[in-house]
Order: sequence, then C-alpha cells, then structure tokens
Amino acid sequence: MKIISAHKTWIAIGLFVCAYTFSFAQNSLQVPPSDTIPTYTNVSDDRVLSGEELRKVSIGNLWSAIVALEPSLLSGMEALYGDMPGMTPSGIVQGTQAWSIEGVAQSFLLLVDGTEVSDYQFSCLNINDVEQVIVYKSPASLSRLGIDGGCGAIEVILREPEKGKLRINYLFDAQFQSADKAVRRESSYAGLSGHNWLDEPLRMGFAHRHKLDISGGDDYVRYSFSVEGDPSGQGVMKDDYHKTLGLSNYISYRKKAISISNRLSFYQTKNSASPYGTYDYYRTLSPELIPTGNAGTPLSLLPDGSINPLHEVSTGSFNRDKIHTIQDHLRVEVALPCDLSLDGAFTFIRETARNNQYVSPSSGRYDDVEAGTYTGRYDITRDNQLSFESGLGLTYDKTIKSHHIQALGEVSVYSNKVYDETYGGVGISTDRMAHISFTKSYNIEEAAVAHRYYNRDISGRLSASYSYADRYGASAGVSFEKSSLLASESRRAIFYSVGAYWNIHKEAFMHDVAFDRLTLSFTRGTSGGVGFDDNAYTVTYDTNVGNEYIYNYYLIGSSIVMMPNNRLRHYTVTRNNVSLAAQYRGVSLSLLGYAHRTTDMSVINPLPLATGYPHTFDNGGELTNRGVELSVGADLLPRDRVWSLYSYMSLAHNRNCITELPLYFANLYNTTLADNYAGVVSDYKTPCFLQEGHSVTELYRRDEAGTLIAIGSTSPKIQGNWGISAAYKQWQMNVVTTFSAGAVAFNPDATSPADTELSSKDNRFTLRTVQISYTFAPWKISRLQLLASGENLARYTSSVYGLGRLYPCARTFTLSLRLQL
Amino acid sequence: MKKTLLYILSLLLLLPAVACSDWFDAPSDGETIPDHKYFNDENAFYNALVGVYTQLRDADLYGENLTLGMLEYMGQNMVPGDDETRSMSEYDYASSAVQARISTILREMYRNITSCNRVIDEIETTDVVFYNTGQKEIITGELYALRAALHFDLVRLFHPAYSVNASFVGLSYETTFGTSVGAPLTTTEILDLIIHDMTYAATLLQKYDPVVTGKGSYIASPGEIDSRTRTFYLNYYAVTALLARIYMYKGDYTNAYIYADETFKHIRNLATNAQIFYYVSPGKYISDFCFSREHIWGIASLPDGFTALSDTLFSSRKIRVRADVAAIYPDVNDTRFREWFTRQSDASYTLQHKFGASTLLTDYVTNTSGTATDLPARIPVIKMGEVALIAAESLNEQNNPTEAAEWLIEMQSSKRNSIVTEMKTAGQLTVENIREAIRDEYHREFFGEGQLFYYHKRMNDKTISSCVGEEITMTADKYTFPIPTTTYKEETE
Repeated sequence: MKIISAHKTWIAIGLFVCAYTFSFAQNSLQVPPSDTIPTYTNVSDDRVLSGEELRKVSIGNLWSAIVALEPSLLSGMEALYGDMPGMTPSGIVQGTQAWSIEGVAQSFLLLVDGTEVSDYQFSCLNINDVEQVIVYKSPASLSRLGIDGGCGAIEVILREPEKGKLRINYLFDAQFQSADKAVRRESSYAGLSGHNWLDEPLRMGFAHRHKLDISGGDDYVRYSFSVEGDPSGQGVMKDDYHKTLGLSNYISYRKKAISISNRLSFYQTKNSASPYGTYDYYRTLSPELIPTGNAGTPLSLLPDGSINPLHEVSTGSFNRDKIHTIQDHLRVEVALPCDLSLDGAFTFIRETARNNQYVSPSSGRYDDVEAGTYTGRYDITRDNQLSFESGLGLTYDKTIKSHHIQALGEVSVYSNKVYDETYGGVGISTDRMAHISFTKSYNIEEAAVAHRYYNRDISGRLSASYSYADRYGASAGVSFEKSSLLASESRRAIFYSVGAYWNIHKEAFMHDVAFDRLTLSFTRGTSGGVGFDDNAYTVTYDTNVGNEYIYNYYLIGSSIVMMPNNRLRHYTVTRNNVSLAAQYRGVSLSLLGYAHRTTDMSVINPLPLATGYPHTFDNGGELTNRGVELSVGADLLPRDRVWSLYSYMSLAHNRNCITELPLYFANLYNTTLADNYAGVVSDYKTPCFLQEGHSVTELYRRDEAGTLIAIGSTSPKIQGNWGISAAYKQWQMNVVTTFSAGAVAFNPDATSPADTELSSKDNRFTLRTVQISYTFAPWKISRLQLLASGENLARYTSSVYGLGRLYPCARTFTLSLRLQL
Repeated sequence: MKKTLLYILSLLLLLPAVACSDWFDAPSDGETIPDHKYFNDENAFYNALVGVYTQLRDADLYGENLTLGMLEYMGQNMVPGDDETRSMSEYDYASSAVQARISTILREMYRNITSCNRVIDEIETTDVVFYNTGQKEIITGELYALRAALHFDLVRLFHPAYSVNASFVGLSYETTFGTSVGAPLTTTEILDLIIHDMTYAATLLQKYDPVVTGKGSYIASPGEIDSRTRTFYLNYYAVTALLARIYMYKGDYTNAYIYADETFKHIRNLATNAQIFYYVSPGKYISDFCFSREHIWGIASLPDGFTALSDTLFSSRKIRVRADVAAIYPDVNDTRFREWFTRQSDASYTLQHKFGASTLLTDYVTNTSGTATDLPARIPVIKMGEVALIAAESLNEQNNPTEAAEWLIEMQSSKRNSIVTEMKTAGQLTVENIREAIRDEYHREFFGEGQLFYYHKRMNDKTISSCVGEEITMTADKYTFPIPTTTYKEETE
C-alpha cells in the first residue's frame, strides 16, 4: 500500500497511457461544419467534402462521388472497367508523384477515422455513414504520414450518433442499370449484319440496397447499431452479381474528462464475374459467326474456331469471390489539466478473400484435347490481411490574450501482415463435379505459389503552431519513423513541414471591404514513398525449379536473384503550396498553386563488371508536378427565403514532367518496355516510355530511325466539375457534370510502338448526376425523403476506343426512400 | 504534472529511434527467399552450391562461349560459318559482337565467384548443424575450389601468358559479395591466391570426399553427397588436377607433376569397380561418345543445352572442324577419330557425335522411382588425358622422356593409338620427340572443349595453323582478351 501510495501519480499516468487514444485529425486548423452549401474556406489546402455534398452526387457510390467532386483526383478506371460492380478505389492525386519500376503500386493512402485501410475496406463504406471526406493535399498533412504520404491520402470520417431519443432509420435504394452503348467501342466488324454480339451479354441490372440504423444517446452514452445489405447486386453483364452484407456497432461513453468510443464492423461481399467473359471479346466476333447449330443449341466452338461464349455459359464455369473484413476501432480521449489533452487509439483489422475459378471439362477450350486427359480445372486463391495499429498523442492548447499556441506530440505503431496462396487442380470428370477435391492432380502448368509480406512501422511526430490575433499564423512539424519497408541500412526517415498564413480580412485596412474571409497561406513540407520491395535491398535466392543440375535427378540449385543495395532510400516528395481562400457575401473562392518535386526515386544504376552483376537498384531522378486548382461557389439567391440556388465549379490543371532521368536507367527501362510491348498491352497496361522533359504518362511512337516521338499524355491537362443545387420548400434538385480535356487514349490493340495508330484524343464530358428529392413528415414518421436519381445519364468521349473495355459503362437509375422514426 | 507527461512523451517519441531492429527485419516470402531465411538447414548450402554449377553451364560460359561457341574458333578447331565466328577466329577484338561476348564472360565468371563468396560467408559463420558427416567440409572445399578455378580461367583469358609477362596487372581476386570490388593484381599475385584457395580446398576435401574412397554401393538420399556423381562436382581429384594445370601454367614442372601424380592415385589405389573416373576401353563406353568416364570434373548439361548446341552446329548447320583433322589422327584406329567425327561428302568432317544427342551417359544416376537414367553429354572441364599430358610434359621438361612416354602410352592405349608405343619400340624417346608427341595429343584430345587455345597461349606459339591450313602469326595481344573498360568502373552512359 505504501508503495502504491508513494507512486500513485506514476500509476495514474500509467493507467491513462494504457488506455491510449490516438487522434490523427488534430491540427491547429478548424474544419468547417458540414453544410448543404459547399464551403471552400479551409486555411489548410486539404479538400474537405461533406457527407451531404457527396450524397448529392451519388446515392450509393462513395468513390464515384469523391472522384466527381475532387478534380485533382484521377481515377483512370473508367476506360478499362466501366461501371463494374465492386470496383475498389485507386488513382493519383495532383499527378503521378513517382515512377514505378518493380510494379510496386504508387497510389494514395486510404484512411478511415485515422486508420489505414485497404482499398476493399474503403469500398465497403456506405456513403450514408460518411460525415466528411478529406482529400489531403497540404504538405503539413502529408508530412505527418511520412513514407505513406508521398502519393497523397484520402480519409473518411464516419458519422457518430447524435444525442437524442432512440431513432430508427431505414434506407432503401432500388437501382436499375442499363449499359451505355453510346461510349462503347465499335465492333471490329461494324457494318456487317448477322448476330448482334455486342448486345449479347448485356441486361438491365437490378440491385436493391437496404440499411437499418438504430441510434441514440444522451450526454454520457451514445450508441448506434446498423445492418445493411444488397442481396442482388446485379450489374449490366448477364449473370454477374455483387452481394453485400454489413453489420456495425458504435458505442461511446463520455464523463467529465474522459471519452471512450468503440466501433466494431463486419462487411462481407460475394462477387461473381459474368460467365459471359470480358466485354471486349464480343467486339472481336464477327456477326457472321452464328453461335448455334441447326438444332438451336450452342456450338462448342464458333465456326472460326474461337470460343463460343454462349456455350461457355451453359457449362457452369464460374469465377467467384467471397471477401469479408472485421474491424475494431477503440479510441480514448482524456482532457488533462494545464491545457493538455491525451488521445489514444487502437485498431484491429482482419480481411480474408477467397477466389474460386472453375473451368468446366465441357468448355470449348478442350475441344482439341483427347478425352480422358486432364480437362477441366479448378483454381483457388486465398488472400489474407491482418493489421494492428495503435497511437498516442499529447496536445497542448493555450490561448493568452491574442496569442494562441498549440503543440502536439504523437507516436504510433503499425503492423500489417499480408499472406496469400494460389493453387489449382486439373482433370475433372464431369461438369457437375465443380470442386477442387474432384480434380485428378495439381495443375503442373502453373505452379502453386504463396506469399507473405510484412509492413511494420513506428513513427513519431512533433508539431507546433502559433497564431496572433487570428490574423497571422505559423506552424512547423517534424516526423520521424522507422519502417520495415525501407532498406536495412536506411530504415529511418525524417520529414518536415512549415507553413504560414495571413487572414487579410482581419486587417484594419480591410474593415471597409466586406470580405467574410480572405486568407493567404503558404506551406512547404516533405513526405515520402517506397518504390521498391525487399528484393531490392536483401540478398534473395530463387530456386531453379525445372532446371535441375543433373538431368532427371532430384537435385535443384538456387541462385541469387540480383545484386541488392542495402542503402536504398525512400523517395521524397517536397511540396510547396500557395493558396488563397476568399468569401465575399455569397461567393466563395479557393485558389491553390502547387509545385511538387520528387527526388531519390528508384532507378537502376550500372555496376562494374567485376561485381558479377550488370546493375543494381539505386536512387536518382527527379519528377515535378506543377498545377493550379480553382474552386468557386456562389449562392445565387442569397436573400430568397423560399428558394435557394447554389452553383459551384472546380477546375484542376496539372503538369507532370520528368526533369532528371539517369541515362542508363532510361535506356534499360525503355529497351525492356519496347521488347515486352505486346505483353504489357495484353496485361491491360499502358506502355509509357520515360524521357526527360516529358510526363511519366506520355505516350510515344517510334519512327523509322527508332526515335521516340511524344504524342500526348494519358492524363488530362484539365479536369473539373460543375454543379448546381436548388431547393424549394421540401423539394431539392442537384445536377452535377464532370469534364476533362487534353488527354490521349492508348490504342489497346497496339502491338508495337512503331504501329501507325497508337492514340486518340480523349476529351470527356459526363452528365454525372441528376437528382430530385422530396422530404416530408407524414403521420408519425419523423422524416420521410423520397429520391429519384440518374447517374451517368450521358457520357461523351472523343476517343475512338470508347470507355468500358472489359466491362460496359452504365446509366444508373435509383429510386430511394429514407425513413426516420 | 505537465513535466511528467512531457517526459513520458519524449520517451515515447524516442521509440522509433531505438526500436528493436529485428522486428523490422521482416522480408517477404514468395517465389524468392531472403538469405537469412534461406540458410536454415544444410540442404540450403548444398542447393546454393549446386546453383553455381548450374550457372556455369549457361551459354555465357562453359555452355557455349568457353567451348563450342567461341574458344574453339579461337583455337582454330572449327571453321567459322558467319561473320561473328570469323571475327573470333581472326582474333578481331574490335568487333562489337566479340566485345559483347568478352564482357559477358567476365561478368558471369565474377557472378559465380561472388555467389561462391556469399555462400562461403554463410557457411563459415553458420550455426546450422550438418548432420551428414563431412558435408560441411565438402561444400566449403568445393566453394573455395570453384572460386579459385574460375579466377584461373579469367587469368588464362584476360592476362598474357605467365611466361610472357607475369607482372601484368589486370584483374582482381574477389573474395566478397557486394557492390565494391578489389584492386587489380599482377598475374603472380592472383596465381598465388588461386593456389592458396585450391590447396585449402584440397585439405578440406581429402578427408571426406567419397571420390577418394571410391564408388560405394550406398545410394545417397536427396541432400547427401552421392559418390556416383562426384565427377559432376569439383571433387578432391579435380582440385589436384587443376593444381597440376595451374603449376604447369606457371612453368613449375615439379609441383605440376606432384599434383598430376596425386590425381592418378584414384585409379592406382582403387579397384576397377570402385573407380569413379578411369580411361575408357574401346567397346566399353557404349554410347558415351564424350568419354565422360575420363572426366575428372565435367559440368552436367540438359538435352536442350550443350547437346542441342552441338546438334545445331554440326547436324543442322554442318559447321566443319579444321581441314587437317584427318592428318591429326595418323593412326586410323584412334577411337577419338572414329567416334567423334563424321565425314561429309566433300571429305571434310563435323564433330557430330562427341556432344550430340547420340551421346548418352549411363550408370551415373537413377531417378526418383529407382530407374536408371541416361544423361546427355557432359561438358568436360578437366580430364585424365590432360593430367597425363601435364605429367608427361613435366617429366619431359625435366629431361626424363622415358618416364614421360609411359604416361603417353597409357593414355594412347586406351584410344587404340600406338604412336608413342612404336616410338618406344624404335628407341626414339627423346625430349624433342616427346615434346612433339605431347603437342600432337593436345591437338587430338580436346576437340569442342576450348582447351587448345589455352595450350597455344601457354606455349606462346608464335605461329599456329589456322582451321583452313594457313599459317597465322600470333602475338600476346591476340592471345589476350582485352579487359573491358567497365570492369572496375561502372558505365557512364
């Protein structure tokens, strides 16, 4: 007892620390409240999209809404995947920040309530649960993310239940989709008559989504329980589906200085790819190929010997996924004396994906194969992910007269393990035996593989900000981390940020000018990324399977894969932002100019021959991204109390340029790409050579002399949106359009850079959303809202290669009901 | 209170700086394995060693460039069939194709050397327990021997002959794995290091190598050293044979003879049925036309490797061997002439059978189901014939032609060649005659193996007969590959 009494202070501190809480959203800048009218008045350069804004763009697709509203975001999925159900988010923000040489994905980081999530977990989010989405572009925000912040980040802040009596919300969406034939690529046999192959795999897709929320609470306890699902999830290709089920629970307790909350959620999706295959295949089929025989049954192969999709559908072959994720976020906030507050969080995420692919022995691909041999196959892939993340932050916040000081120190630990395995069996007797256990042997043509990847990180950050009289402010921060993704001799990384702002509208000379806000800010900071995997810095061995030393003898050797470089560094993105935010009466304007410079990217440098290896990984090269972003919003009827009419527009221009490119690396990269050109294209990738003075996404053709001639970038020069929101009593109407210009599309049938036709201008316009809603409160219902929405009603592209190559683009019509009791 | 919290926070913020490094050493597993996970059992070391042998048979090295693809043209044993091989036979080192091959040879030799160095680093510091007796010593010995042997072939190619310029500074002796390289050394310095490693290897191997005790009835399990296949690896006698070759290269006849004689203890000390290598008798080699039983060390090949190259050259493209081949074998009973060469309609010859698809090696291995497996032709690196010639030359140059002749007679008898026997009968065993007999045997013994070029270089022959019978004036520059400028400095563009 004496011991406890003597150390009670330390014990108390230890208990607080053990209940650690973490807050990523702490910064000195105020996030504006969500509102039906978008406000672009952030001092920070981060773009904040409220949940309300997003729901006006899309009723059911969160990612689509984000892409529509944020013009600096380039998704690039539409051309290839169209409106495939269940697509997960990927893309770039403010241009490509770094090139990739090992196929290591260079995409932005996805966060939910401060926790890193996978793209699948992000795609499970329901747009109706979103409080706001933050697209991080500020150097200060991204430097905090360290080696994960190089390519930008997008964070979703989920809604928390509000205080009040028990509320029951029911949300229902009936969605109809039809393929948008106007933007699909023409058949290779346009003009010929016969079987209409392009329409063969299409249908009217129907999905019905349901969500039931129960929430409530008081000053101490708040709770919500939610169940949602889509039992049909049909797309516009026949027999595909994307079925979802989600359960989540949130509970929080607050008393005096302590707040504890926990969110537990479970999501499951079941997908089935259409047995009709990929849409692009139908473009290659001549209408003169009749798929059925005289008896009207599908032929096993078409008359020209190609696969007959109608026969394949009848065999029962399938490609199905089942994915589920369980997540738990625990958060603790403690208000301490002396203007201090302690925040801590712990998150656990588990994700499991199972893919089963079955090819029936009756498939036409086995037509030439002798009966009794190994026809039919069954392939299984299992992907698993397990991650833990915890953090602790201490904030000091003090105002003395006109001076406001805030300081923050935080530390976080992250551990992620990803493991997968793929194997297959061949030799299935009949197409009723669609299970791996009925295969006769392992598929020896494709070896079974398994992988394990680890990502372990410990990071810390110190930041401070100061403002005087809410007129002038300055901030600075430094982050340091140690990561398992970095090379063994360069595991530590340090990043910094500095910034200043001036609230001009607070100056005395501005008192006569009726600016609600006029703020000029400058921020500079660094963040990073890892453009290599551990083969680049660790000696790794590859087993010479299939190349035994003594013929037909069991002895197999192993050899070193390549010369590693254990001093390889992460690449660094240095960002400089200048922004101006203004609000004058009902008009808001935000102007952002940025200049990013990426250095120390992964390159390949030659080695002396006496090392035994021609080259190794190294750091080098320089890439810049310069751009301007403009957002304007105007309340067109500020004085009208019955009508409200608000219009907004945003534009983004980005110029990406390789300013320094090591010659040896460029020659090797470009030669390898040229040699594998057809293979890269057949993998649905765009072959972009690298040349100094041009963009990373530049397309080239090769002239007779072998010189690469630039023909345009696949990234648009300008992107933007325009929207209008109108309200009259209980009626609301929203219209959103998006557009882009200045890009070129790559010819997906090209086989060589010397081909005569490699590109087509790709300017686009989309009538993104037309939405009408009516809200009222009939009988004893607190609130009833009926919505009718059309998404992607009209699309235009100048590209002759169309959109929706593997899966068609679709027009989406949704009738929705929002009921609150 | 505030101070206490700040202290705690400071300690926590130090966490990234001091966090345990092992936790971050979490490399991925997949198609490749990181080295610290790979070397977890004795089989891994054996597999890594076998990986080096597998790389040696690549077309870049012994599978083509150092044998049928380049050195045979430079030794004038094969008639060029295109511009590239013509450049080789004319010693045109300015040719870009020849330069590319030379750079590749140098780089790939060093790759195998550094691969050996990596495994040596691991095996000499490992905690892994080797359960198979002698396995660790054998693997370590082979690694040191391989490192030395590959350096020696680099010296033979890129340095002038020892007798011409022993102080030539050219290549380095690499003993580490990494991006930094050693300083170039003189021929003498490198040879001393080579001999040091070879001698150490011999010490390790002598005690445990089954080639010393001979072929047993025990069939090795996967991962064990198999006595039947020891001549596919740098075994103890291969090391002694290579030491004989190295000392002969240095002109040290005394040591050359000692090691040559040591090598032949295998057939002197062991019963016939226990011998792993021996002179093949006529009619006893069945379809083994490369006479693999005479290889002290040969590199295994696959049907689509060295054999396929031979068939492409001699069966498909009909590349001819030197025009005077018939004159090289005056004794028409010589089994080498009868088995290796195919006469063409124009009275020229191809080397169709020695390494072609018709060559099958028998009784070396059984497959996993216990059935005997025939192997494709093997690439010889050092043979009994060469060791016998080294022994004969050593004795002869020490004025002992009589004893030298016995080595030649034994060698020739196995080939039904009686030239030296007749010389002996006629009382014509002089130093000069034996010297010529040795030279003649170098011409006869090594078709397709790349060794004749090295012989001419070692002998510093001022003129040699070309593949079409013309006289070529040879210089030190012609005998020496130019060292590429990027050997010690990376490419600048």
